[in-house]
Amino acid sequence: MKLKDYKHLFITIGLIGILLLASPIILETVTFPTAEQFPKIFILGPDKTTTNIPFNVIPNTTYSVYLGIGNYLDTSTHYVCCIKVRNQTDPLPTEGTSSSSIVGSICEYHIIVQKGADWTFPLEFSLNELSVSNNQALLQSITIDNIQYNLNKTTQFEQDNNGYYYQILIELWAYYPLSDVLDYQNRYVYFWLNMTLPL
Amino acid sequence: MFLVLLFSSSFLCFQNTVTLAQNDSTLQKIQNANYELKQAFITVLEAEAAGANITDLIILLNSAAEALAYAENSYRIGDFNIAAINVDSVISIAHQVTPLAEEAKHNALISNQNTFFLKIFFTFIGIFIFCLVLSLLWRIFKKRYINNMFQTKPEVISQ
Repeated sequence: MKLKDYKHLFITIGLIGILLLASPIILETVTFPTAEQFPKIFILGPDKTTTNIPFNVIPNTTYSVYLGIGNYLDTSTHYVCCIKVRNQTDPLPTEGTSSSSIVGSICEYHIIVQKGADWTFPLEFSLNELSVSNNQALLQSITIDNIQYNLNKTTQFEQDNNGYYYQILIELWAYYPLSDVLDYQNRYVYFWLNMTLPL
Repeated sequence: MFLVLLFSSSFLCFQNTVTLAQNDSTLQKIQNANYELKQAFITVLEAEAAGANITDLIILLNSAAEALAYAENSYRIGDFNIAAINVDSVISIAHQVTPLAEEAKHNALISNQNTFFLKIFFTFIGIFIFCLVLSLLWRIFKKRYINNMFQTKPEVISQ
């Protein structure tokens, strides 16, 4: 190797060394593509596992579940959970068009979740004053966290599953304070309640 | 009889007016609480963007959010007193969070700025020392290389 070649080698080593030493500053100015960002909603039983989620329920008895929200967006987010009660014929949210269910919400919960964190909170409920006539059940009210809401919701007897069923549907919405927009996140959870046993 | 009817109807009217006024006042309070919570959350988001640790602030905000939900849900069923009590709690917590978030943001910005300038300073020092050492090595290497060249005897190849 000639002296000129060695000079080029030293210059190359020098440039690589300078880049390595400046890497902490370079990293601060460069933004890398982030992974897919999404929120999640989940429901857990009273023992905070996926088992024992109430199904066979008795009127005027209190049941509890845990509602969880995971925030995998790039900032902390203010979520609103809309709680709805539906029967077999009421529509579910439409995932294709990202539209929420047209069933009116009976109550709403606000939860603020930090970036990258999960948040769970307990939800106690009881179904009150159920009456049945002509293969149709009428649920007059539901109590959620000690607040009683009038419902007057009917459901037909389901021949296939041999019972009267209601569904608790929880939709996830996000509130963006800067734009003042409440946006449905195309995420929901539900669980069925079989009201047949006590009848 | 007529007087009794007149009195009872005017009493009912008065009661309805009071309920409506209470209804409007509570709704106004809920809107105010929503606004206060929104402002507090915006400040917390700014603190987060500045790199502050906002875990404790989020816990506080969540207690306000929980109270707001309770107020709104109580309002839905017409329990205006419970709604009003919870609304006060929301506003109180939001007022508590806002200055804390501003302070956290301020501290984070100063800390980030200091860290950035320190990084620049040490990077330049590092690069300077590295270049100095490399140029010294190059001089030594160059000197040895030239000496070696002078010391080597030319070989004569006879044909």
